[in-house]
Order: sequence, then structure tokens, then C-alpha cells
Amino acid sequence: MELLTVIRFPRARGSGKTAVAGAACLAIVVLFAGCSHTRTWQPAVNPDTLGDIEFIHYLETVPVVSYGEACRAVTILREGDSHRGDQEEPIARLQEQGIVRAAWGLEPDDALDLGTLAYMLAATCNLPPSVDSTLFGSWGLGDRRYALRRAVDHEIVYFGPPYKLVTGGEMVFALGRADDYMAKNGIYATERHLTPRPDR
Amino acid sequence: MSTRNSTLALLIVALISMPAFAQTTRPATTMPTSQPSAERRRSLSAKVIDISGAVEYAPAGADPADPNVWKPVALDTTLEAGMLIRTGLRSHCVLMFGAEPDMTVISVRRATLASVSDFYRTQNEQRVRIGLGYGAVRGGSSEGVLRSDVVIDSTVATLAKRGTEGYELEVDPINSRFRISLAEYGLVTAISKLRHESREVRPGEYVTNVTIAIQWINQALFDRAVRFYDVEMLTDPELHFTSLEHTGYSNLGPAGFELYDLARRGELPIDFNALQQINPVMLAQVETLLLLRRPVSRPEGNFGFGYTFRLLAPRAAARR
Repeated sequence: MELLTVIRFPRARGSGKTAVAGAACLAIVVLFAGCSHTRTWQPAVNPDTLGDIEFIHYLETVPVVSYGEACRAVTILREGDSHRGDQEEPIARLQEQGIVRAAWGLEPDDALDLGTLAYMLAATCNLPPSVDSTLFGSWGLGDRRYALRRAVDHEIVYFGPPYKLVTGGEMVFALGRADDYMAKNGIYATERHLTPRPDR
Repeated sequence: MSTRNSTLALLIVALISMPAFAQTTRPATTMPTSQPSAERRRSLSAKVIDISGAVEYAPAGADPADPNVWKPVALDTTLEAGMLIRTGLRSHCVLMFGAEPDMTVISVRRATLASVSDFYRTQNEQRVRIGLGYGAVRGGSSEGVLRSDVVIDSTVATLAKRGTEGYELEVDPINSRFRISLAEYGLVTAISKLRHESREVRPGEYVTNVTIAIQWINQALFDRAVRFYDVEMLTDPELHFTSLEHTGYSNLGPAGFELYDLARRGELPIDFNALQQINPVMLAQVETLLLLRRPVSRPEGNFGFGYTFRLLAPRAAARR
């Protein structure tokens, strides 16, 4: 509230420089931290009890995909098997492999947005990097936004704002497109891909 | 005499009741001409000839959401009409309908829910119907003795092939998206259920909702134009015409009506007589507003007054 007061009424507390600095700090915090929403919808069955093929077809019925479900689905896509652990296990595996970033601060129950999905699939498919993703995305600035552009360019996801929440149908469709891309380019994850990257 | 009368009565009753009997027995003896007869139609089953990854099937009429109805597909499994089939990621299976040379091969791609809706053969045709819930289906057909009729149907789009090889239908029913492609040769008809539009796909082409929409918008004929314009957009002659048409300064015709605005589109939708009876004060206000905005046409005509700069000067000045 104090920060808002300073921004809206800069002359009330100090000079305009304070408002500019406050707005810049707020923008940087939002840029790095992003926005996360906990999914309020709860499935009728616990997806952790489903087998891999049942889980993929369960996703088609989900109105909003959670981050934990997306990590399990991407693990199935990469390795052909999700190993049927709890929701934390695929997230930890993908973090080790550089498919997701711990800096996003996402929890398993958080709703998945399009930028996060695009980043996961772009990293899984080894999509060629762009200049922006190399210069800025590599250290976290707009990483999911640039990944979304790359994924759209390769027709893996349809274009939309990176903050748009992903439905189950969109998730399965994007997974299928990523599967096609990997099969066509022969980049199903091998043991070399599954080892942790030294720079992550 | 009585015997003759009773015989005549029986004959009349029989003649009257004959059409009724004939009507009740007609549906049982008559077959619809559009459907092949039961004797000629021979139902067949598809055969699984290749599997990769996790593929499961369910019997006809099963609930796809019930996990207990699904069983793993093995090689040489036969699928009857109505059976469901689903695949996981990094998985696909290939179904063969018929045998050489009249053969249709359908590949159920990754993360797909599909069904064998119908598969039968008549004297001169082999018909295959595939239902696609979501995911992708790819196929090819060869025609030998029989004509091959393959239709892949989904809630979003329909693919109908005409002696082709290498066609594919991919659908995302949640967002009403689809893509119909043809890789090798032949011709495919893509039908968008959302727009009720169709387009033919040739080898190397694909269609989606967007391409069909572009085709539709290019072919659309507009027979009526509705224009929105402001005074700044008009030339002087247009401004002159518009001011005459809408202000009552036009000439009178032989019947005493204005020649301009014959369609009466320039009038406000106000019934002044009704407003006079309901609320005279409001009528006075409306008339005041109308007077401020523009002159009001007189029933007897506006003789002797041409348009003046009092009407056009403010906007005309602004234009310059």
C-alpha cells in the first residue's frame, strides 16, 4: 500500500524519482517471479493412481492442467515412462535435466500457463534457440516468453499470450505435436539427454 | 337373396380392408434403396498389423472413462465395428482393413482416441468408417476390384478420401482445431463442421480452420454495402447530397413528398403523434433537440429555403 501510495501520489511522499524507482522494482519483481495461480478445480480421481496411458487420456478431460501434471506428462514424453512416483519426483527430475527452472517458484498444484508449457516442450524437443532466448532467456529474463515464440514457430503450440492457462485438450494436442517433432527429428531422449547438464 | 346379400357384404368388407393389410405389411417387405441390403452387406473386422508403445482397445459400447474396460492390443488382434482404440505418447498402431489388393491401412497416431465405426463390404464397394475423438489418424488405401470408400469423422472435421495414399486428420476438439493433410497422391475432401465449408486437398497440401476460412472469405460475395461515414470523410458534392437527403431541403415531387430520402431512412424512429399524447413535455424537448440539430421538414414542403452555411459552416470550417 505504501508503494502504491508513492506511485500514485509521488508528491505526497517525495520526488518523482521515488515513484519511478518503485515502479521499476515492481516490474523487475513481477518479471522474474511471474504469476502463479493455484488450481481450484479438483479431479474426481487422483491422477497419481492412474497408469501412464490412462493419465494422458485423463488430461484430455481436464479444464486446467496443473504444473505437476504437466511435469509428469513431459516426463512420459521424454522417457516413455513416468516412473509412477509422487508429483514432486518428475519435477525434480525435470529440474535436473534443465527442462523446468526452480526459479519460477511453481508448486505442483499451480495452474500451468502457456509460456511454461512452451518452455518445457522447447527444451524437450531441443528447439534451436533464438537470439533473444540466448541473450536474455538464458539467464531467466523472458525465458518462457521467448520459448513460446520458438514453439509457435515450430507449430508445437498455437499462439496465445504466455500467461494463458492451458486446458487439457491443448496440453494433449501440444504433446502430440512435440511427439511428432521428436520422432521426425530422431531426438527421443537418450541416456545422454537424461543426464543433468553441468551448467544447470 | 339373403345369401347373395351376405356374400356381397363380405366382398365389400374384404375390398375395403385390403389396403389396410397391405399398408401394415409394407415396411417389413420393402428395403430402403439407399442402404445396401443385409444379404449383400458383409461386415468385416480390422486386423492389427503393427504396434509401437502402449495401445489399448475397448469393446463396443464401453464407457471410455471406465479404466476397467481397456485391454492391451496385441499383434493380429481383430477389431470389430464399434470397438474403441487409444494410444499413449510415443505410441501408435496400424490397422489393416481388407486384404490385397483392396486394402485400407489406418495408423492410429500418438495420444489418440479413435473407434472403428463401421467396416463392411458390398458387391462393388468396401466401406470404412473411423471415428476420431482426439489425436491423429493417418491412412492410405489401394483399390483393386472394389471401390474404396473411407471416411474419418470427428466432431470438428471430416476427411473423405478418393483413392488416395498418405492422408492424415489431426483434431483438437476442445478448441475446434483440425488439420487435414495429404502427403502422397490422390484427392481428399476436408469438411469443416464448424463452418460447414469443404475444400479439396491435393498432394503436399493441408487445410485447417484458418485456410478454409481464408478460402471462404475470398469467395464470399457481398451484395449489400453498409457504409459509415463522417463529414470529414466526404467530398463537397457528397456533403451537399447528404445534407439535402437528411435535412428536408430537397425538392418536392409531384405527389408533394420529398424526392430525397424516399426510403425514409433518415428519420428518427419516433412516433410524434403517440409522444404528443403520452408526454407533451418530452415531445417539446425532443423537438427542441431536433431543432438544435437540424431543421424539421414541413409536411407541406420547404419552399424557398435553400441550404445555408448555418448548417454546414461549423463542420465545413473544421475541415478546412
